[in-house]
Amino acid sequence: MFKFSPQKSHIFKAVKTPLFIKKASMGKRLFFYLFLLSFISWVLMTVEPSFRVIPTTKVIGLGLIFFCGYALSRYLNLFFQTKLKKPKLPLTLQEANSRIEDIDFADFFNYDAARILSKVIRSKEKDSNTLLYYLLKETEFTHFVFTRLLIDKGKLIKEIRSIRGQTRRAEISDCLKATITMSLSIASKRGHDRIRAEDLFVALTDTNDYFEQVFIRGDIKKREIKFLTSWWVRIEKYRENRKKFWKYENLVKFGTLGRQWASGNTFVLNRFAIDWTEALSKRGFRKIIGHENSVKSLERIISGDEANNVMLVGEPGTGRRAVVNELTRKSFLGLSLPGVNYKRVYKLKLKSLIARVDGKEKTEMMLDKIFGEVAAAGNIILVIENIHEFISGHDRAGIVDISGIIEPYLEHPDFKVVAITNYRDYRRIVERNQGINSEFKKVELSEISQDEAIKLCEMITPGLEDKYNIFISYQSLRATVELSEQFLTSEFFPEKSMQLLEEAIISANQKDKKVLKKEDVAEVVSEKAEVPVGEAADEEKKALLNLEEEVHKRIINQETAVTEIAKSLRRSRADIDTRTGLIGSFLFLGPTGVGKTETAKAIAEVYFGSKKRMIRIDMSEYQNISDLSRLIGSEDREGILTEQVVEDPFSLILLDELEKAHKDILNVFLQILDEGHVTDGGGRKVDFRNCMIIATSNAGYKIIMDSVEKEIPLEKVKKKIMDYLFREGLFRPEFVNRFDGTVIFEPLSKENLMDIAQLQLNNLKKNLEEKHIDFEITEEVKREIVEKSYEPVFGAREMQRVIQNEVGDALASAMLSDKLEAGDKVRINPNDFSVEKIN
Amino acid sequence: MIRVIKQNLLIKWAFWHFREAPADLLSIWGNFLRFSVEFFSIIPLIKTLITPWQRLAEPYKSGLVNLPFNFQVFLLNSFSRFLGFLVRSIVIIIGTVITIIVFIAGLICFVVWFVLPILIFAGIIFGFALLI
Repeated sequence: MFKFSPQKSHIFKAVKTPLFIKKASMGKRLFFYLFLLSFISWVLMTVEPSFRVIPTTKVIGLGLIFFCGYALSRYLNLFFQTKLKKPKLPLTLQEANSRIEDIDFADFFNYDAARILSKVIRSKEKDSNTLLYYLLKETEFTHFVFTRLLIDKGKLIKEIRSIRGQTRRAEISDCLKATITMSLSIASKRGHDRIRAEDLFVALTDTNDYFEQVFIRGDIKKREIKFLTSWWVRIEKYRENRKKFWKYENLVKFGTLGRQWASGNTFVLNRFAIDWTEALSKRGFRKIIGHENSVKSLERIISGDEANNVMLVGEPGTGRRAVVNELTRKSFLGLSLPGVNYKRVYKLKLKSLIARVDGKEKTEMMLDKIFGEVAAAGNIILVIENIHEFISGHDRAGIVDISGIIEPYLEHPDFKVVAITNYRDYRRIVERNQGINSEFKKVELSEISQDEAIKLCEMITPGLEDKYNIFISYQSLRATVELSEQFLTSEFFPEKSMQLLEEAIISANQKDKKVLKKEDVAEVVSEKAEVPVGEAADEEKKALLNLEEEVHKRIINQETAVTEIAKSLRRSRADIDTRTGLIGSFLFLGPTGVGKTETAKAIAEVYFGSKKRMIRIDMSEYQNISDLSRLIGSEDREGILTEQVVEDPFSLILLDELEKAHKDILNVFLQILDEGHVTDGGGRKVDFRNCMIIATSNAGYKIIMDSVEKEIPLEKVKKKIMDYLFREGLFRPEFVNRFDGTVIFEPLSKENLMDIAQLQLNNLKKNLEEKHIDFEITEEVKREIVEKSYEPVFGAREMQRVIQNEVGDALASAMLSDKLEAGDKVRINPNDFSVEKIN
Repeated sequence: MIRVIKQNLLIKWAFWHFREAPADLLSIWGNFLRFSVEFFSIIPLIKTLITPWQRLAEPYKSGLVNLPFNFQVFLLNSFSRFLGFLVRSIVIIIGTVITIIVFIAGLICFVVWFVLPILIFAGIIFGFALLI
């Protein structure tokens, strides 16, 4: 049963605390200034006797009263803030959440939430609208939330005031009860110690109808409110924590004095390395978001007695440097393990050392000295970035192999190294250097999640706003993370989202914009990834709606195929698909020369913007499993398919003659079609989510030909072909099912070929027009071309040859022999394909 | 129904003033003491009191022929140790003195806290007495 009795709750009683206690902080200021005034007066009267208009003792008396008044105000304020505002809870919030039948909800609110609810209870209508009204009117965080969402809070207050009920009710409404119950669960999940006003606000997103309308109107998602309130709570906690200078973690920020005097000095190291501890302590430490486990592993290994060297393996941009920064922070503040605390972190500038020291021998001597110093000092953690470059066994310009020099030191207990590399080079170089690799323990760094990336962007937002004098809307912040996840697939979180945010700000700044909106971010992503992003522009909308028409300008017949593809593209662009895989995937089946490849080309041109956006892979070249490495790469080579997709993530992939590929190679496409990504031979995840795959095959074409002859409907033919493909083991059912659609291309009829002849002759006509020659295409010529080239098995393929040999050659000869001149009008004689002038 | 025991304002105040606030004060006092010891690195400096200054020490050579050289090294290393001892001792002494000051200041605050309400009211009364 729902129990809510504010009259018995300590926190609601705190709301009714006498004013002289609640407002003691105001008295504190007043008494302080009065005391200061008395003190100054006393000083003046002591220095200059002419100022003594009243006896000095009276001034001292006044000063004493004001000082005591000040002390009393502080004392009462302290009592109010630390005791009355924070009464003891009967259960923790987590326990309360699991025993809601046994608790009184009124006991679990914080002061602000209780203050707002007290107002709601005193109102006529005790419902969720009233709660929303007071939250909007009286809290600072709602101002923060709606400003970030670019919504006018004042307008909302006016609206909600007008819809609030005016019927006096004694009981609180069911909706308000639901809101309170839900707020407990929200607060518990968020790890709060009490239910905050922010939790009530988040609960309203699910229970209040008016709020729902606001979301729809403003195109806001409920989770945005959750994120924004969490952001606010984090800011509040940070501010509160900073005020408490007496907390140990705040005191230790002053560092230590004399700690380095217990250790050795490092004269040579100082010349060729950056004292990262000093650099960060000057700049200010920033707490890491995500990667907690990696940092813990790092600390554990470094604090160990043996093999305390770490190989930090992660892709650039995943926060490898942030992990080292966190290690530095914890070490500096003494908040890590004993073996890590108060160590100094140095970043070795190997390339700079090699550049500054002449000759390999001298470089090696210098390195030996540096490593010796590190081991002797006993308080150094040495960071070496891109270690793979220096242990590959090859010396080249600017690179020296240091394996031989560093190896003996790695066993030393006081020699602690954090080496950084990426996955590909770790497998390619580090793992193969057994001597070095055995002295390191690997710590892997995966990409942080989208939610963590948003938190990170939130954290850097105030700094960026300050730097660029721009306001960053929350929609734009989310867009940086969501769009970088979707379109900047070859880069990694958090760097890609942080970089995108800054680029979008700079771009908006150049246009003198004062507010960064999601459209600005989409524009930058479109430029970077060469992908249409965001709301479709008018021209693009038109192209999408008329896709079928546009494609049919290039190919004849094949209505079903074109319609299916067009629908899939429209769904994808309108963002109504909750797809995880590709934009679309289709298997085209049909005899040769019926327009399968032409259709793919037309789609590439119409939707992807150019024929160059088509990655064409001839699958007949992948008949052996050993060919797989050519397709998706290996440790030593780049993959033909994967590399092109990384470079052009927005592409159409045409897999020609699919049935000829090795079965295991087809399995790779099983994953791509299913999940939209594949891991290439170098261990890199390649994203295919902005690609469309069209696979063509002429397997079973005889069935199509026979069926067309017998006039069997296409649907039945499709089933027959599938049976044939599975029976012959050409494709597995689970493979074919992964495609969004299997499209049967019909053989071309003579009428179709007439249209194709027209299309191809049109190309000739266009070329001649540039030379100011008017070429007339007659029905007779087309008919003759079709007659000469018609062969159902080869489709329209033969026609191109006939047009080229008969018509093209005749026109070329006529032009070369000066029989044709600019301004002439010509046609082709259908009987002998000779050129005739018409005047 | 699970509830916290009812308390009136006076009991709440007494509980806070004599139990909760002193506990907080003790914890803050502890933070300052711990910080003072850590800031001056007293423990690691005691542990390395007579190690050579910045670990600058030359290795000895074996054999009687190297006796003069080893004597020089001995003198050099002894000087390095002495220098280390001197600097560390100064920091340890300063650190210890400041830690003692922090301890005494904390103790005073702790004791004053218990009589603070009396002091405030006494101050007000005395102030009025001076006025009259």
